[in-house]
Amino acid sequence: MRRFPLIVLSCLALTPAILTAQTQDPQGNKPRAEKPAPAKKGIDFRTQVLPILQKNCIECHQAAHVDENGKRRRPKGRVELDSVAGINKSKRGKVVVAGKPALSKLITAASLPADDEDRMPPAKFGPPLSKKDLQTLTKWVEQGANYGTWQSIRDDAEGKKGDKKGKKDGKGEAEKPKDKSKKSGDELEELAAGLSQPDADLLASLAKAHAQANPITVDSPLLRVTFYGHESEVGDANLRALLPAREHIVELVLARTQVTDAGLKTLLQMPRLRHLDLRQTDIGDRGAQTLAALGELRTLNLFGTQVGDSGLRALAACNALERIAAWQTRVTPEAVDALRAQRPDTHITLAPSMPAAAAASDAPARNRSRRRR
Amino acid sequence: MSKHDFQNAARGGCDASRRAFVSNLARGLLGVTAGGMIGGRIGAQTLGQPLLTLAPRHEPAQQVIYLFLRGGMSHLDTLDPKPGAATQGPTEAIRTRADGVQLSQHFPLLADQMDKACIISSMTSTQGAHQQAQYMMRTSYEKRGTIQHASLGAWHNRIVDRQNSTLPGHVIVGGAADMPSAGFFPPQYAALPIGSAESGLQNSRRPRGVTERRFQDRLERLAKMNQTFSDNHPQREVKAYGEMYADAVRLMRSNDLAAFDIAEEPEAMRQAYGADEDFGAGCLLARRLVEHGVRFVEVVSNGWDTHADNFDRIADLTPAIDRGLAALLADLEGRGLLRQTLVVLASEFGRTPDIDQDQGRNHYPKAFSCLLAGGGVRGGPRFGKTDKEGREVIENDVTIPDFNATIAYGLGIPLDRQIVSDSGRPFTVADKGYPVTELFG
Repeated sequence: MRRFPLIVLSCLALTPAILTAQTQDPQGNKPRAEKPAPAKKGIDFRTQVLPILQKNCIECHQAAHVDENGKRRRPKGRVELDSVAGINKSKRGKVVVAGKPALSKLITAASLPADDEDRMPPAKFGPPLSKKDLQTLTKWVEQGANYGTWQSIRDDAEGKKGDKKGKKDGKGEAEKPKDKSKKSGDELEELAAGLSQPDADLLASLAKAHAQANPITVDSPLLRVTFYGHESEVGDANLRALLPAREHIVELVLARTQVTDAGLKTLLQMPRLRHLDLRQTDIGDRGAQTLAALGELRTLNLFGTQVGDSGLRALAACNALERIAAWQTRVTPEAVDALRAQRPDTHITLAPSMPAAAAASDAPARNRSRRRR
Repeated sequence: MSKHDFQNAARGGCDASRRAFVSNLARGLLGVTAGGMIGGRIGAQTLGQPLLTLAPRHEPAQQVIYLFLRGGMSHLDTLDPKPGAATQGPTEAIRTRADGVQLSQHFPLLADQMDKACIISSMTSTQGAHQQAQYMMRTSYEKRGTIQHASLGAWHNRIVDRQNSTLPGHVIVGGAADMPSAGFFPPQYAALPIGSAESGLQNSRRPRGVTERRFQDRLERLAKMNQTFSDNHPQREVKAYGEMYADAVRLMRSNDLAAFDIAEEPEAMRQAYGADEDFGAGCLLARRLVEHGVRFVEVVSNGWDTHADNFDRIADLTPAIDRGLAALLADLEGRGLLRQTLVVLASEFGRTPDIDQDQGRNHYPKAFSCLLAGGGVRGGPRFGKTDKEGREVIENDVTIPDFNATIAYGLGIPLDRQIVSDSGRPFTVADKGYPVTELFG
């Protein structure tokens, strides 16, 4: 980008409102605003927010009804803004996310640049919301999206006021979506706490040992190490070569490599190892007994190994083990049942129920690869 | 906010000064700050486009097997049957292993695996034409004359590094050459096309009579001949071309070349997948490729545009899908790979609930179904609902960008990561799509 057209510069003003709703101003709370923003006073929905919606939004975004011409009208884009219930159910609850303007479609859609085709209100309808209006909406969402006593425009028109009983969202709070992702992200952060990014030299030494090390999620210092493509050259020595990175390794894929039972002892020095994949290696019961000392191991893939019942019994000592794959091993169903009884929370798979082969059919030969437009 | 900042930014100054400019401008006008930009990166060119930031998943899926049914699969006759409705036609519904979830009668094998899968019954789109709808399905953007967007597979490989340096990261089996693959991304992110899974990878072995030594000699001579050209033309395209060659040679020399050969599978496995048919063979190949660390494998099935004789043709087409997908889910689970492999079954739109005079159904983007399994997706109940006749989405609508955002989220691809095209326009993996994070356990 060599030049910013000035018109684009003015759109910059809209960006921070979306991006920064939850973050602190590192230099303190005093905005250098020309207009004194009512920073501390709560925004009142009925007197401040509702008029904005009525002027800019409601004409298209009200619940299905029959208009004065007798025509049936549906809410555009399936978004209803004329009632609390409508707002909460539209777009899977994402129209207004209490406390989070950056995640609220009401705010993000109204913040798009004037020439963006998804901008609300649409260009053919009118100009974008004024900065003041957008700021009011943003602050209202930031402050928790409180509707006060307001239920719906229809109720107002019919003169009904006061709280409606029944629905929880009658209380005026937008439903919070079940943000499971937050919890998972937190677990990862805990594990990564205090770790710095692996440096280039470390990664180079791993590459020399034929290891492919990728961050477990983008930008994480935790590593997922695989040996795909070099399995025939990888053995116990390569495992030892991973030790300089021992603090970083969370997942290790050793499928089809030449590691042995004895080599697995190296893994005991990896405190953050949570997922181990030993598919189609020569690991047996002795190796499984070594792994029993990995008290934090979550998943273990033993598909195609020589592990048997005594190895599986030893693995019962892994208190954190959530999943074990044991197909094409020497493990018997009885041993699996015994382990399930001991560890009801551990998910163990033996042979899957593959679809049975089709009976010799007299079905007509099907048309393959017939391209259709 | 000073004139200096304005000018600095206008000159396309460095990121730090842009950051200061935005920060000051924001403070001046809105009383809010521009601090805490996403991960410390501004992506300054985006200006005004809202960016969706979510905490990453704990265990993102590592691979994708994307099964695409081209032509617009009739949702009522497959994943979203409405038994008893007038629009259902002669197709009946069957119960599945997942409580409360029914499939059409054509999926008896898949019914047994439905505890692993989640049907999204509330897909909705405005794209009713094949080209446009398929384009959007692949890229999340509308087809335009000005640019070719990058497909999901290209994004996946660009953001998340390959696991296997000797194999391509992106493969498409039986697929369309006219759909964008790498788009405006460098060509190394394009999918390797495999015409037929049974034939595998063509031209991947040295010709008879050419020893490895001779082959190496030839390559070195070629490199010498190209040296001057590469030196005089250091453009990205030239480099990319050279890299493609290097990739191809690496593939030829790979120990994993056998991954492409499904003849190596035992007969029982081939029969379980129905590998005598293209689609079953494609699914089996996909499983082999992800076992060897290929990130994104697509398998395409054609023929779903059932404008006429919908019911007969559905009966013809579905057994291969039923068997291939069921075998794939069971097999991946048995190998302990289901948790890290996201399996997608998708089509570009659905088909009309009203049956026309040719016993056909026509294009219907307003409501259709797709399926997600593996990759940590919670199997069982449907997500989203259509009405009693399958005409309208009544709950939890999911647009095509939302669907792709869900896949991207599942893979740990940040939805706010922008990649800028040559023309200076920024793009994200799923445009403005919002992921259905509830699907992931």
